[in-house]
Amino acid sequence: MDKLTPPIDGTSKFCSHCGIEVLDPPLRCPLCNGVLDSSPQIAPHQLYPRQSIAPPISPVLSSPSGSRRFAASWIVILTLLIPAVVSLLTDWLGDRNITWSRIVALSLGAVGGLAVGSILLWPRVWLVNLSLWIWISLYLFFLNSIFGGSSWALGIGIPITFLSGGLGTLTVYTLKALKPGPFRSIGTSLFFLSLGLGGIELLIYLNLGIRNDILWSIITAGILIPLGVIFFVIHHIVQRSPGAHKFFHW
Amino acid sequence: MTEPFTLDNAAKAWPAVVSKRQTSRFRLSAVFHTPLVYEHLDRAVQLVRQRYPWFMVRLGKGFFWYHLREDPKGFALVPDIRHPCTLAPEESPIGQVLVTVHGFHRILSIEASHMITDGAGLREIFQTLVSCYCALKVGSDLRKLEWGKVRSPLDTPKPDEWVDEFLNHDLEGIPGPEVPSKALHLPVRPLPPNQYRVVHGIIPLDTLKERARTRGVKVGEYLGAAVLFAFQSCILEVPKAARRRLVRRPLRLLIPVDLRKLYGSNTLRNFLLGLGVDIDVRLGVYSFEEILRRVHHTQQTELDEKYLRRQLSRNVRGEQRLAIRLVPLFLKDLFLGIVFRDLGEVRHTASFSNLGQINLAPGTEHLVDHMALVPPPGSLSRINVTALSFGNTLCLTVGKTTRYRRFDYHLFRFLADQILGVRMWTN
Repeated sequence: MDKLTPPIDGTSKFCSHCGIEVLDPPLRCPLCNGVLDSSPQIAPHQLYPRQSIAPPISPVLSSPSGSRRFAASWIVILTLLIPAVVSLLTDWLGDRNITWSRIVALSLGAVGGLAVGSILLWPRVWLVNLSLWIWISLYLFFLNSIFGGSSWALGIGIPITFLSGGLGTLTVYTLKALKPGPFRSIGTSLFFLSLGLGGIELLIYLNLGIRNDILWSIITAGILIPLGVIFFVIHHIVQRSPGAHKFFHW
Repeated sequence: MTEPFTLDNAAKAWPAVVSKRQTSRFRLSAVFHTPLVYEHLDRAVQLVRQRYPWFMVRLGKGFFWYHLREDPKGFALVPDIRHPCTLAPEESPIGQVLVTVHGFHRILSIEASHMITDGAGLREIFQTLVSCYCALKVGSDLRKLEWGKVRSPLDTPKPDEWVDEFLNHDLEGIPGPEVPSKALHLPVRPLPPNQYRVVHGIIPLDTLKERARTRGVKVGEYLGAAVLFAFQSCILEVPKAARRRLVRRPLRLLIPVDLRKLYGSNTLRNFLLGLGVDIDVRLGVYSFEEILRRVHHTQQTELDEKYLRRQLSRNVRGEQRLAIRLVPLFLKDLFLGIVFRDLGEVRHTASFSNLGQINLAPGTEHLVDHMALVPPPGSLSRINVTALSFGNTLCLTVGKTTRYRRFDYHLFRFLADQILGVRMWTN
């Protein structure tokens, strides 16, 4: 068909989602992928969508995580593999034994795992987060098995990692859900930080049996929690006083 | 087109300050009598893309400056969004596509970033797009159509449409302008990022012209005075004790000036400057007539080609200094962000932009009911106003990044008192 002349009218349909008329109707709306109907479904006075319309889904299915992501992952793996192999070879050629290069290779493997996991799982933030803590735990576990000695990774390293990760995630999700503003965000973060420090001290006591005469986490909490309360109070004042609002705005 | 383009002078500072709240995007919309037809719209967009190939771009990051890079996804037809001029949550303000065309029901919109063009530049593209769509809808042959004042989509792209006019002036030895004092901002709570509220009021243009003519002013001046009057009404609502604490600066309205007519330019890139008109509420309550007189005389005095060269000189001087050119981009971002904030939104309460009349190709106007211009969302100036005329309608649009409603109430209440029949719609 000539590009500069209009097409011949056929049996037109209207998109129930974006309200546009389609002269030569396919199965779905070519603009927004909405369902087509024979009569207009949008009220004549409605001039903006009630909610943003998602772009149409490509009819050609790509790989689950996207070919570009897989390519990026391979680049990361290959980039880290080279220094790992070089360090192993150097170590082996030195005294026909692998000693220090195990730690280098393990560290590079952990970094690679973290990077590849993040690339493949993004933007599912909670999965990225979970994989991050699992990788750190595995890294600590293998590090412990390389060095030998008491099982510090299982006893204290991994629990502290998961405690920090869990509390960090909880803090982020609380802040995201409540949207408390900058001052109350600092206050909330300080509260969770106090909890985390308390938990770490408890873990140290339970696993290693080290008990200080003075409980340092309670002292820290005694400083951080009142500081958090002060931030809450500042927020309260700022919200209610135009002068303070203006002062802190600048 | 393989070479990246440099940003024009007015756009250089924008990437340093764009955010989810201050996207720099503005929108022109045409409201038709009947629903849009997808096939005609898609064909019109394809033709107009070929006519203006420089607008299929995305922002790129270099070592010293940002630049524009070709992107086939640019200037494409996409579904509309509830909050105009905002970005999708997953979209980065720096990586945004700079021009998009939106279709929803019976409203056709084009959205562009100030990093690529200004209102008058986008108006030219919009006129071509809407005329082209209307011509296809009514079944006209585009080759035989009389295009009148509108640029035809079948013409070849002209190099003078893509010139940075700021750099085409000899500004050697011209002093910079005086920096105005900081302006008063209404202490209103901001909306979350990615949200924007717009209120459109459609006014009969002949009645408005009549009202302006009886006072011996232009329509733009009349509306500018109405906007300042509405801001003053908002302040007068505040209890007297609190008002004394609030009003420590003047109310200043920024009125963008299109320099194309003044300097005889054909460019579609940014070529505008802003003029400030202020009233100081500490001195007493102004009547509408007093504000109108102030707006009229300020515009008459300051709309002077020689006077405006001082502002041009200030804008261009920074870009041309070698010492500034050699600063890496991340430091420039920091510096430009501070300068932009300090000389930009801090110095004015709001902006009022009157884009004038939209022309369509003869014989295509009857399909369109009215047209609207949505201002870019501001982070500090949370309320901005625009005006756009088409046929016998003028659409006055209030764009807000706040829930505060008293300003639109005062503005449209005042206009309804003056002019009968203000139709309103919102998102």
